[in-house]
Amino acid sequence: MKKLATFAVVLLCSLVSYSVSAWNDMGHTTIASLAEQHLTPKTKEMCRKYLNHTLPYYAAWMDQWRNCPGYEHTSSWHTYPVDERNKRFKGESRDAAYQAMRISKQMRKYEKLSDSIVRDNLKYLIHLIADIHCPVHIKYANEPNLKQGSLRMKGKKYKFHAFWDSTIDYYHKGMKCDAIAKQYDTFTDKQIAEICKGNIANWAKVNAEQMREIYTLLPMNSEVTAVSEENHQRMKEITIQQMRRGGYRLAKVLNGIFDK
Amino acid sequence: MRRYITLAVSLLFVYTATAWNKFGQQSIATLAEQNLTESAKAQTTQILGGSLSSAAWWLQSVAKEPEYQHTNSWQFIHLTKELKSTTSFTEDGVVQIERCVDILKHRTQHSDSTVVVTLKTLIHLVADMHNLTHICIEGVEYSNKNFNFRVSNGFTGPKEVITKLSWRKFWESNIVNRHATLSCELLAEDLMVCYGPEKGNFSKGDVRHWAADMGSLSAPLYEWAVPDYYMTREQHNRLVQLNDKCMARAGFRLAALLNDIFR
Repeated sequence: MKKLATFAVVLLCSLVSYSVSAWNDMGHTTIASLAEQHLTPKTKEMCRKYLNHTLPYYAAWMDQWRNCPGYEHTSSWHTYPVDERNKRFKGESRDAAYQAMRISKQMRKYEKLSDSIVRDNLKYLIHLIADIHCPVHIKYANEPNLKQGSLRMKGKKYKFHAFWDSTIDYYHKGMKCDAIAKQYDTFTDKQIAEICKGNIANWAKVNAEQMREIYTLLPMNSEVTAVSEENHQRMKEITIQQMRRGGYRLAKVLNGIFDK
Repeated sequence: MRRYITLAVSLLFVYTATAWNKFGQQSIATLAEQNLTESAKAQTTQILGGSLSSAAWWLQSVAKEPEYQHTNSWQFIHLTKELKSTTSFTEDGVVQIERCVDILKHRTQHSDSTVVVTLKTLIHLVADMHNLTHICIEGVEYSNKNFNFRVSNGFTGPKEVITKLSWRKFWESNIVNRHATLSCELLAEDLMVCYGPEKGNFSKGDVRHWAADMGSLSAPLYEWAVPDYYMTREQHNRLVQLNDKCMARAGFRLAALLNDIFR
């Protein structure tokens, strides 16, 4: 138990200076790396033709450019708000799922778009599909108790959001994104098909339902003194589950565009 | 010219230089390895007892030892105003690369240990000469100097965080670490996807041509890069792409040299 308490302290200490964004770079590149292993040859060729890079190269591009001239409007695309019934708000464009759906719909006729639009759209999709699966990127808008804040650990304040953004990294210290992706790319075709059932809207809704759990594992606005072994294990399971979902589903979306 | 060289040398001896951090050096070596001919790969593996990547950091790892301290200055190249390599300064990177190539081409005349050390040195120096802050250009004041500047996280107002960085550290570590979540193999694959079609162009010419090419990329930086310069996030992002190009050049050119030596 002492070890787990230490784990929580060390983990949160390592996150204190982290600026809030989405999955961190490791999270995004891991998901993109997993996705790249599941692209059909044609999709892979098309992605490389338009991007002139691999998927992981551009995985964190939206974070890197969000505050740069011309891209400021994308800064609000990284999360999505839901109501008490886990439904997204109609007409809300500051919504990662909405933007991912809009862009994937536009990409159905990618042949009619300019190369630069296809390139930017791909960069958006690579990032947004991952963001939809980041446990803290669902905003429970009307529920103040789930409003992301901070928690205190032995009297010191930490950001809750930063914790979940970096869990892939934390649980795989010293590993590179492609090695992490390979480690968890163990699902059968049947299991992958099951994960990829539905569409972006369904995935966002299920994530919204299920990610409520994280607020019970590491309560916010509280004084955390230790993380139980059970909760610790569960946090890791959620991290890996969401990473797999993000990777397999990103591949599905891209294959659906380029290799119908 | 003598004054210029004295200044450069005195600067370099107090600075244990590395052009890129370990990740950068190994990624360049990995890209080179992927572009070796079968013959070159077999021979370099036999000499090194492993991959180019495994040898890429060796020179840096011994650079602080008294017997290797003199190699610190080899990690920089020196160009005239016309971007021509100097021939009079024997501690220059280009001169040392040419020396290594000569030894390796006539390797049967040298001991095994000399060949091993020379090959490891060559792998490192070719990467080094492609780091934009390791190119000292006569008359370009700050190309010879290290200085601090400021880089923004891109936010405006109270969310903006401005980090003070050393110019060389920025190019040696910070900018390469943008890709630090990728393995060397994945970064090399990416560089191949993006710059593979330019491989032939990059590899044309000899080491002195390559030095002049790097000078032409480096010199424009100093039109704005001065102490206390404020770098925007956008500019930072664009410099990452410029650095990628330099790494690709380094990898392809190292492969071209080795393919020629180990035909």
